[in-house]
Amino acid sequence: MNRLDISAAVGLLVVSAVVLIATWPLVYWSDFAPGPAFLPRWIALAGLLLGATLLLSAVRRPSTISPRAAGGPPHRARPLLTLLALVALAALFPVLGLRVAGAAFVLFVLLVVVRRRLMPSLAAAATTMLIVYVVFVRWLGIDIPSSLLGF
Amino acid sequence: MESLRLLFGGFEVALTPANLTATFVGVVVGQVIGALPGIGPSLGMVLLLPISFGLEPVTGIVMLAGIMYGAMYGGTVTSVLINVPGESSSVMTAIEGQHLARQGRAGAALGIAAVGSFLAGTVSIAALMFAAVAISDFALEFSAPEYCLLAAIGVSATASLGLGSTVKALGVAVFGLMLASIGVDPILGSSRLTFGVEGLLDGIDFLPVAIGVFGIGEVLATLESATDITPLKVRLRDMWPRWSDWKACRMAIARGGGIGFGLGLLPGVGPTAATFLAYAAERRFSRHPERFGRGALDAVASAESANNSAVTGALVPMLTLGIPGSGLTAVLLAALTLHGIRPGPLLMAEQPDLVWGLIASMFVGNVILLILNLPLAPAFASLLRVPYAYLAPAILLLSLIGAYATTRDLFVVGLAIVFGALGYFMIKADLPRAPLVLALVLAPIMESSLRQSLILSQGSARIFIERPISAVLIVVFVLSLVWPLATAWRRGGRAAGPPMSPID
Repeated sequence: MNRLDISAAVGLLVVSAVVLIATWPLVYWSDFAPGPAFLPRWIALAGLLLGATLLLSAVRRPSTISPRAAGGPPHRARPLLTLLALVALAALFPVLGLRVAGAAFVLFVLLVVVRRRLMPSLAAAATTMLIVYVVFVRWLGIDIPSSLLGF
Repeated sequence: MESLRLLFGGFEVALTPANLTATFVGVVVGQVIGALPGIGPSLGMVLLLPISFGLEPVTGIVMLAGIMYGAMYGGTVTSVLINVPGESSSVMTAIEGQHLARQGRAGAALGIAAVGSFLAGTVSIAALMFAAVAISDFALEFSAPEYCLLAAIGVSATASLGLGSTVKALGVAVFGLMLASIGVDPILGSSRLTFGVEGLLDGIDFLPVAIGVFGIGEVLATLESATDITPLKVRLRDMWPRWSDWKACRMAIARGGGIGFGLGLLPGVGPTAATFLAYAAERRFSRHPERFGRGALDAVASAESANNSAVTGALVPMLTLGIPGSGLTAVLLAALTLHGIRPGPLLMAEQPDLVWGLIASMFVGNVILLILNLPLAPAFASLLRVPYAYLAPAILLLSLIGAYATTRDLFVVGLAIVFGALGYFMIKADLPRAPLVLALVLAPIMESSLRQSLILSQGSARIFIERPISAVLIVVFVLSLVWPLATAWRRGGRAAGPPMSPID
């Protein structure tokens, strides 16, 4: 059985059930026209049907071993670390400002996640922040959040 | 003749300094994105989508459209030189290109692909002109029932006619429809599925979803497997096809272009499927089918012509009916909507500068791409030496800033990250992402048209059958759902199909 397919199927079943339950108190039909619950309920029922079909198929299918991609084994920690860094960036840039938080994010990904060398990473971070400044601040005139220190 | 007059007017719009610059920027960005493996054209479009808001609508749209067809040219470079498809519609080019590269004919492959893409792209833009006018005139007969069914067909066909598992694609589309239900009811104004979260009262906007699933998710998935690559070196003098190459490939270009444009008109087919079908058709027509899979130049010509013309074909339903048939045209539709422009039959009458300016800019863009690709392909190839690891954090940062820049709302940034995680999961689980964004774009049209239709008919569903066009559309909708599912069931009840390309 394919765990990812099962997860997808279960996810669809859960979301469909939530939509069905959450829209139950809403009006289904009002006078001679559908109400707010009409379409979401039918869509949720379709979701339950498709989720059940996908789950059944995933459980019955034998799991396959994915062929190893050319270039070596996958770096499984990278997506999770990068995602956590993104969350930290979103949380910190109102406090540190986008320039500092953005540069810190780029350096974290390059030095810690993908383990690149220091000097090229510093150059990449500087280039990225320059592009952000030129495109968003100078060209589009967008007000980028500053840090509590004013930059 | 009227179309030609309007086209000349379009060139006046397209050749202004701002629009010419936007076309150039769009096609160059598209070429670069297409050339870099792990970055699809949809990512490029969503990255530039927030930037396009600071521009005039025509300027923003020609730039985004330039990325769309520019990426088709760029995908050839990486397919031939490192045997990795730059984007999903270059898979067949990679298969043939690697053999041609080993035979010392990488330059010929790149050259004939550029010429084929230019010729097929140019002819398909001309076909777009005439098809768009004809369909727009016909679509003036449409009313709420027809729009409801067209939107439903747009969602169902994209889910069921695309590559990969039909059940998975329909499941993703249904999930997208549920997401689109969040917010405020469009007719009665009551809140729906917001769970008391104030940020959800405006619904789930297209931008954070697109940035998340196409941008952040794609980068996360590519980071997992990214390794440094070394492309083959190509000399400038090897780029020009020989006369014998041209003679061998001209019919392949014509067939590939025709098949690509025709299939591109259908929602859900897209350039990737068009490429596969054009390749298969060319193999049947070829006098030497045994060469296919071992370095056939006409196979490259056919595949590359098909993917370019399919992208152009997909613009026809988007511009004339307001129904995008792919993830790429969904982003373009969203850009138009966010600029306050509603695609549909009235678009050509109400916004002639936009439509004809876009069409004219595509002619100009194809010329630019031919000029860039023939002598400058070795220069683009050098971009492949930049390790993906250095590009990834920049792309992620620009994605988040793009999400923030349009709304100044951290909630939207958070949504983009959540959908980024979802996009990563979808790639790993082989779930197509285009049906999600298409459903998000089309659901409001579908729901409001459905309810308007039933209000008009005082609650009777017969309005959908009594009108001849909507009766035909109902049949098409049912077929688009039933036929792929029945085919899958006949194949042994397998609900899972062949795996998707990760960039589709």
